[in-house]
Amino acid sequence: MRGRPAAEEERFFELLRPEQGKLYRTAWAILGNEADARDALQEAVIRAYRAFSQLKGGEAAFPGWIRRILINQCTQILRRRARVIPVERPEDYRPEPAGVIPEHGEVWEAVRRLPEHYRSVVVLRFLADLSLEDIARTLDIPLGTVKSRLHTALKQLRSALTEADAERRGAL
Amino acid sequence: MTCERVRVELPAYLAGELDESASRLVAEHLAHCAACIEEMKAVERLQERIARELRAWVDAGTAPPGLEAELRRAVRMAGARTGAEAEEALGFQHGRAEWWRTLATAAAAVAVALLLVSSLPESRTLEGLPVVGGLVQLLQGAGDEVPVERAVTRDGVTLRVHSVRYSRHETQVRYSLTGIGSLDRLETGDLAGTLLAGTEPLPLRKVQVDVPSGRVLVTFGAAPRRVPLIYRLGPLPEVPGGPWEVELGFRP
Repeated sequence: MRGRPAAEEERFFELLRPEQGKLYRTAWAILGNEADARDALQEAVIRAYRAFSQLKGGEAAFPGWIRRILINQCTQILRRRARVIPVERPEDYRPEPAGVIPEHGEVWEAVRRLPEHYRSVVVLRFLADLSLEDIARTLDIPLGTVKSRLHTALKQLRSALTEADAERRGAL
Repeated sequence: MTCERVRVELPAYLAGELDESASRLVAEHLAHCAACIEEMKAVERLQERIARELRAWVDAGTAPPGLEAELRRAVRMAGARTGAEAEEALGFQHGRAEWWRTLATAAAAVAVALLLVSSLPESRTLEGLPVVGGLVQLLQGAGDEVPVERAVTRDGVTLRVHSVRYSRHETQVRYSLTGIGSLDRLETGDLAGTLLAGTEPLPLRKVQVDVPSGRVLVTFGAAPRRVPLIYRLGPLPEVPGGPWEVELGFRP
């Protein structure tokens, strides 16, 4: 621990505890699978812990600060992935176990069913709040490709959500 | 501008991310196209819903069991290392045993490996090939490795292929297996897996296993170019799930 007092570690994890689940889901959404999400979260937590003493804005700034570190970590992983030949990974499309789909899960379910190259654009846009140019840089693709992927993804999401809404109304 | 072109530009237009001339072109089109105005409103509503509900989904997230303990362990292990080089050399892997600490503090990988040969009975190799070289590679990989970092999880067991090294003579796949407890319960040969070039398996040359880290280096014959490569592991004795398959792409 490089001589760090145990109290500091405890404080760090106290602040982290309420954020863990959110951070985990953020990484999962961006990267598309749980194994990569765990790796990204661990690396982000290590980085955050090392920089903890430099956290500006006090403890209230902690959630936003660590979220940004995590998103940077996730985009680095996506950038690395962009340099290898893309393949569809079967674990990305594994259905969640019954009963796990939480409230607000409808949009997530529709998003996670998108093919990887559409899903990552949608999540980087609406969850990581990246500009289209930043998404292009992260995924190492032209800006025009980002725009057309987002356009297609939105069309598919609209159709999936319309269907889900209709099903829900029918069930009432 | 055509309607279709305008519709592709709508998210950027709504977010103010178009340059002035493109923005003006979209605005001019919208001024006389009621259908695209309706589409813009629908896209705006849809985007708001996606952003709002994705955030709500994230905010409702709870940590999976054991996550905090895993993160604490990761922080402690990373903190114990003395330099960025050592960390970079090791790469990062969850569930890594305390054993790595000793290694991580050493700057010279060869020296570390020499120490390990005498102190780590858990490290084993198949076919009697040099252990020292294998351990160095298990630790840091070779310089010309192609990163893969793809994982597949079945029944809680995750196969993660970290990288592949190609040469004229051989192909080395570096992977780790997590979620099965110790690798010690398996025979070294079980961990060899199969490297398929198309549908043809490449000949197996060597398997090197580092039990504490769950890291395995398998050497096969040379891979042909322009043929898709798939690494397949399992099914493994008394381990649920499997076989696990990871697509590696093509030899560069």
